Amino acid sequence: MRPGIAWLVVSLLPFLAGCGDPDLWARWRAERTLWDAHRRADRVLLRPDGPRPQDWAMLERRFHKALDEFPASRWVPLAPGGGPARDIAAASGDAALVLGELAARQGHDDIAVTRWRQVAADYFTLPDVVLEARLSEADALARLGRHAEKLVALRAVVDSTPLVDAQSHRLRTRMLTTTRWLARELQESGRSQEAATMLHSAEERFTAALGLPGTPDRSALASALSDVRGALGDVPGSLAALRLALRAAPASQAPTRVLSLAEQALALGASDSVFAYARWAATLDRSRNVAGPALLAMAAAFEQQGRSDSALASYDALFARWESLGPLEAEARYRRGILLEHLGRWELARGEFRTLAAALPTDPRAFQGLRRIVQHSIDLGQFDLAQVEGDATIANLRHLIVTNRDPLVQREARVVHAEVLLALGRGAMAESSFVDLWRRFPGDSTTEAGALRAARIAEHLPGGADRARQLYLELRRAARNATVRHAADAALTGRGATQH
Amino acid sequence: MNVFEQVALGWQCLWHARHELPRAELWGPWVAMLVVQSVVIGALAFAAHPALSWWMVPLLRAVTHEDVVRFPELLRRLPGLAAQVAVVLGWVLGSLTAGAATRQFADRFAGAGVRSGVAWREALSRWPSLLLVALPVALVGWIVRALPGAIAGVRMSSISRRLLPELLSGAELVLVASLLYTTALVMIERCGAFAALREVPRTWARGFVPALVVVLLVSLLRMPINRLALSSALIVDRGVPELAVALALVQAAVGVLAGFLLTGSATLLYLSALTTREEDSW
Repeated sequence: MRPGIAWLVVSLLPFLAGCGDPDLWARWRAERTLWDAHRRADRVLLRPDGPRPQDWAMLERRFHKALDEFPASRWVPLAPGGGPARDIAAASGDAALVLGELAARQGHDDIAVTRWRQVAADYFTLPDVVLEARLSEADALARLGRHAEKLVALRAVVDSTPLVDAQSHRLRTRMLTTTRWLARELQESGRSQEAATMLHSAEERFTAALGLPGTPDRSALASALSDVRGALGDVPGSLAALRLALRAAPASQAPTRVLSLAEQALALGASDSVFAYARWAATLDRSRNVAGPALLAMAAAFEQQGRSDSALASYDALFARWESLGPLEAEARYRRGILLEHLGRWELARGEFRTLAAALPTDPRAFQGLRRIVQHSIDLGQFDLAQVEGDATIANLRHLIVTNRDPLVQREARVVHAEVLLALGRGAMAESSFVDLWRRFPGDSTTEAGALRAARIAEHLPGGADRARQLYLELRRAARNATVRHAADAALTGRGATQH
Repeated sequence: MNVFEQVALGWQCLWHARHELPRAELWGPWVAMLVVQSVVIGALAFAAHPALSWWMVPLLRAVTHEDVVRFPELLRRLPGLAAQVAVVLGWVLGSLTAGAATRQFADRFAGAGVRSGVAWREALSRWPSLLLVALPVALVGWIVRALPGAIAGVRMSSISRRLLPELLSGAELVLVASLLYTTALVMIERCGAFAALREVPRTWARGFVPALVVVLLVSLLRMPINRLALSSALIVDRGVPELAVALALVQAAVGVLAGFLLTGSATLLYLSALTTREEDSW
């Protein structure tokens, strides 16, 4: 053979072979299409004046194009085999999820719910896609006020999503948080028995998973098991799970894990265990970040046991040990102030609250301290003094509300502002403050509870019955917190209202 | 020659090599080199295509130890991968290209006609020697490119971590300057590899400073595009990912241009300052 022909054959050989996996190329094209669509979406969503109708239409077309080129019917059945086919199915699922998100962002939650339900049905071999679809569907159902269906969607997540991804061998941590979320929602809806059954089932699953040698991220799973057992009231079991989390965690995390043990024991009322774990944590790490909260936990445990002097000594030790307590200062001062108030040492308590308000004026505990000053005077029957203290507090809070644009500070300040108005007997102003607070921060349990209080206040004000009824109707339909919804429903039922 | 004369000689040789850029007959070896590099870059960019993936994917997996044939990850890493391949290509094919080009430049500067076929045949016949004399520079080049990844897990001060690659790059330039005339020794003096390397110290007395001037100036030419290639991940994430392919191609083209100037200058320097022939070289 002539050398020239030989070179030609050799050079063409790679192309003549063509034995490459076509799914690799399909995956490349799918990722390319999706990447381009996401980039356009990012640009559109970052527009200063928001997306225009033609922008939404363009994005819908782009993601529909990705779905049309890589349909679920072709790729989802191949996904269990792994490899590029699974990645293509996941990319297709991502496009389908985004289409639901686009509908939700345009305010069409009903369309979004339909799309996400279709995703959960179509991508059944991809648990991560189904998980995302169901959680998004639950959020949208909550916004639509369809709370019973939301619980069904969450229940489907908890019952059917595997804890560990078989391909990537990762723990699905969202499963853990969803389990606790659902339990809380069921309890707040008055379905405690169902919540307990679900928690027992979750406890079995988590325990079984921890028993398998290859389970990843055992520390996070054990922490979740501890939460579940704590919710079931199993204090020793909860602490045992936390100790398991401690053993499974890296050595560098030991001080914070032991501190978590102390704090969890405190939440469960096991004060003896608090002392043991808090001392251990402080020994492992003497810094303010660990030893500080440990001392704080010990002080709280002493209070639980009724040992006020020991609690005060712990707070004093905390302030003596570090010149600046940093993020602990607000909590420490507030709780020391409350303890001093309970011990009848009001002047010292008021001094704590005033120092807190001066040192950390935007901290939520500072607002609560000011609230305590007003409430103390009312409790003692010193109404004139309460009015003076209250007016000063209201002026402070209004100044903060006007000058500080931080949403958290705004919310906390407005809550206490409304509560002080209520405490001072200014019902109408308190009512409008609570309602205004809820309008500004919808979907928040605290503000929803405030709106409920506003409705109850309105019931007792002249001409407020209609306002109360409207509020109850709105809360029954739109409140995220199940307790608030049920309370609103009970109030309407008690009032004989039957219309929505 | 004093140092200033040597500096001036280096600059003059580079300047005259620049004047040879429009001569098409001198570009043969370099165009071939650029075509090969472009094919490699194209193979990397389209590694997922069925025509290529059957051999590109195992190769990439062996080099990177992970599945990089993903969009846009492959394009993020493409300039770096292409640079790694360029080190090997620069040694294997670059030595051959430089050899053929040295013969062509020598003929051109001697006033004779450029004979491409003869140049290629001579270079091919001396390819093993060309490979051996180019090996030290290729090794150092490979170390410089592999270093950032190698020291990632090593504890050292941040200033050391920042300066070490720069110091090694500087050492690479000094090494290139030291060995600049080896190709000329092989192709013009027809030395074997070891004989050429033994002759290298003789060239330093009159030839090191001009070589260093040429190498530094040519490296300045490559610096902007090489710096840009370091930001390929940013270009991919913020711009159009396919720009990484264009970046790699431009990097290869600038590298070829630098090779042309370096080889031309080295040949002219050798003929001007180091040859033992009595005829004028230009």
